[in-house]
Amino acid sequence: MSKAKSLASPKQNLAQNSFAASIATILAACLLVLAVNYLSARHFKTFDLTLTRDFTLSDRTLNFVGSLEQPVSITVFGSPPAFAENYLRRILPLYERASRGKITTAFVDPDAPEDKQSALRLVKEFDLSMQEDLLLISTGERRAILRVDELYEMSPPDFMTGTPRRVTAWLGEELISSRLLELLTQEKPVIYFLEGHAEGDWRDRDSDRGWGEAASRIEREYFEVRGLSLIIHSDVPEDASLLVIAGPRNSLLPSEAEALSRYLDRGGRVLCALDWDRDAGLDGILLERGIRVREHKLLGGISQILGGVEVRQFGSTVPILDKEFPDHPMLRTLRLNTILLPNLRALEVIQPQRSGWQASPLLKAPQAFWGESGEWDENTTFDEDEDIPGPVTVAAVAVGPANARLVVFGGALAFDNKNILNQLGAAELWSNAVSWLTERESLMGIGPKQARDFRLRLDAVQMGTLFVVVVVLIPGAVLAWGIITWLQRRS
Amino acid sequence: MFVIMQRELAMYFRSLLVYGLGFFFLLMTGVTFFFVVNALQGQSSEYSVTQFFFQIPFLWFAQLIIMPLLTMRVFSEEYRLGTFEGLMTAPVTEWDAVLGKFLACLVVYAALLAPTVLYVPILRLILLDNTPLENGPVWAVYWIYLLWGTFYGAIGVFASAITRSQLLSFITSFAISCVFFFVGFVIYFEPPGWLRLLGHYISAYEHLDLAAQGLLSTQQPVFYLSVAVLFLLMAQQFILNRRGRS
Repeated sequence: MSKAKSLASPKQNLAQNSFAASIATILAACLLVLAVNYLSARHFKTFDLTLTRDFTLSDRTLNFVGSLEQPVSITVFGSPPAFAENYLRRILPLYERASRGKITTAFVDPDAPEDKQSALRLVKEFDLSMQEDLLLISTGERRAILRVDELYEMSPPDFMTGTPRRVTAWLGEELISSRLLELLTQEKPVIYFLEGHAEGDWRDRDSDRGWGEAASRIEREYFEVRGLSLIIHSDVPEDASLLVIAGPRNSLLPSEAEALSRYLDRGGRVLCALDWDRDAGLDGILLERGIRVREHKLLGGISQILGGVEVRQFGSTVPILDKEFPDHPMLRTLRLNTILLPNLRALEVIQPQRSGWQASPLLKAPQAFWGESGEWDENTTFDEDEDIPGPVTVAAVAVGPANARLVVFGGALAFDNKNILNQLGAAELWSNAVSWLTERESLMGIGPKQARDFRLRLDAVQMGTLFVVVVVLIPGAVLAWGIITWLQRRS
Repeated sequence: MFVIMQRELAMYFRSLLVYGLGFFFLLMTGVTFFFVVNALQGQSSEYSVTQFFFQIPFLWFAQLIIMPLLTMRVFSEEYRLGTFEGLMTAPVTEWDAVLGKFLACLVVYAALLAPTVLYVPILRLILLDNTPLENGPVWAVYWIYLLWGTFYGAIGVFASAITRSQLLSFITSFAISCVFFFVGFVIYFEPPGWLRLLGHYISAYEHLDLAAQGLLSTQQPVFYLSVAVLFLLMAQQFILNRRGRS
């Protein structure tokens, strides 16, 4: 080698040195580029150029999340619809950045083989019982769950124009930030289940009649559930965020009804699911607040043509269609076209006797269902003298002074262990009712972010003009310029 | 540098390649834009027409092909025609040559894209109403396109500097550009930890997707410009060595 080197001309030596210097320069530049990009990946700024500031968290969230001291984990569990996943992939990194690494986020799809282990761990850790798209939030020993479909509101479908449902507002930041604030700074809100009247047992997760599944669904949403006897306690406790009356089969005593009335007067929240054929002794309280409980049971049927033969499906399970939903926050986030509720009794919304109260129907059965006054079998038909014609109200809401809220369902079976996971929409309706009653979404006071709605309406002339300009004129001008240039060169 | 840039620009605008490329590119983008508007007619959508338009794969491929086509001749042709030595005897540095030719390509690239900037104002004029057509995402996308032009242009200049065959230069430049473009798709295979972060950082598609939604980051110019400078430096060093040998 030394001989070869000595034989090389000065010009060759110069070239070799120059080549080595180039390699060194390029290597040094590579290292510099790596260092600059490493720093850039860790320290960067983003710019939100959208009209609706889609990529910007509110100041309240930024201040709160920026001051986090303990680590928080947010996991998207399941496989949400593409638009919801896009939204979460857009918003969750904002939380990560704002928290300076205190918040970590992940997406776990239990159906993906690589996520199986993580999914099993989360199912155990969060006591998950059915396949849903969820947001699992945990910090230390504290855990909470949000349903992904709670994060957005949808418009009702327009059957006249065939317009499908679309997202009208995003509630994600409001709900995630509120739940984080609650998880990190507050004790669990307490929900009481009334006891002593053969209600559905909130501790019972095994029998069909139990309400254990309903209770566990709200427990995992960072609530504490307790039983309450108004025979032992003369009043609903001060710390009650909500009182649930889960289908009592025996009447409440007058003193209990009075305690309930006092609770509502001081701004209490009550969710009342009535048994369809038992008197709960609540008629007076509800009547004063604009909701009359009728004894009529919902019956009816929907006719379908199957194989050219009309088949009448008759029964007491009522399908409630989303086209009949009123515009209520409790229903805006429901994704299903139909909710199935079994064994309902008729309700009626009337003028409240108490001042300051306002009642309105929440759910109405389809026209084909009526309120049956007597005993029934499969041959029973509507009797216009005795029965209540459809559409019949089967759930109602009332709001009163001091921000009191009351939700009454004309049936309780939908939320028991047998039905809550099996009847279409029952679980979502239950969770939404609890969320609306406890008013958790307003903890941060951020409010929903309106979803953007772009519509283009061009007539044939406008479309023609667009075609001529963008497809003919613009490329044509470039082609003409090229031809002129070519001709000039030739001449 | 500016003398070389002017000379290159004059050459480009006398060449039929640029007009042919421009005609084909604008015809295809025009047709694409028209069909996107037609498809969204009368529908309610959370995404604006511009967001749909800029995510059409044809536009990505156009970006990947235009720069290799424009840059394939910058040095290769000089080598082939034997004018490179003449250029190097002129009082210009290697950086003047590299940057002059690179900037000329970038100007031509911007000139090709410029008519497409008119699409949204034209649509707005035709609509004659207040239909919301966001401007922010449109400018964000053109910013990304400009960064892509810089990035792929630098790769093209480097590829042209290392070979005297224009075809080989085109293939090399297109191949390197494709590697950088498609490697970002690794994020959709849910890779672990650092690979996912790297995938997000360099994913050209994600940069365009976020820009089309209206989000820009300082990461993007840092990545594209720093790597572009690296390729230009490699081209300059290659020419320096070639000049030394000749």
